[in-house]
Amino acid sequence: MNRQQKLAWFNLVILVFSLLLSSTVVIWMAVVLKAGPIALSGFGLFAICLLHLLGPAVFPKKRKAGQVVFDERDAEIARRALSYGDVTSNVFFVSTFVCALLALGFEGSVRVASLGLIIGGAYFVSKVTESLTTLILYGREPKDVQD
Amino acid sequence: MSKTELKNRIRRLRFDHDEMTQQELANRAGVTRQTIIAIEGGKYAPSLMLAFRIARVFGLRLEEVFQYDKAGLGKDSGTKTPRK
Repeated sequence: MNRQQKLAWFNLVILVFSLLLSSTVVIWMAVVLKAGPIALSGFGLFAICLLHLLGPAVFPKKRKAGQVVFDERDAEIARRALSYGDVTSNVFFVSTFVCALLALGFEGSVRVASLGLIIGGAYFVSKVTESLTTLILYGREPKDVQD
Repeated sequence: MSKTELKNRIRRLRFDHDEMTQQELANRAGVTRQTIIAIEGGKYAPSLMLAFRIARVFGLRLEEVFQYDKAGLGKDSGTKTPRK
């Protein structure tokens, strides 16, 4: 497993953990505390997903003498993963606004706080897609193709 | 990455060149070992520059290392059979 794959796994774990934690808090506030719409503020905990930005520090570049650690294939995979992430976040944005329009109509209104949810959701979708694409494109290293 | 239509003889050539390891070839071609594995398995089509570098490692011409799979021609190559 190379550094890019490790970073993708790290991002995926942090993002899914953040989503599960914040969703649990929201459900707990809504059901146990009967907080109503305020319960959605529990999604603020999703901000801990920004811990994934520490990935490059957790997995620093290790360069052995004479060995290449990042080449044209890695760059191609990174570029494709990034573009897939961008596409899915754009689709998420557009579909969110279309759904809101269909559900609430032209005269409807949404809470300003929900904008944060939309931005967080788009970020989540983008990063998860990017990580999954990276892992899929690298695929499994076959065991029988050793030297 | 999906299978490419580019065939190669890298595995054969490595063994012919004193059983050169994938890591050794990777170092000499300036790529990672994973990329050599992907190219050997036909899962990645290298850039023209990399293909030339690999051919140069073996001291051969490009077409002696890489061959285009003609069976894949016509499917998505954009060529059409002319009407009679």
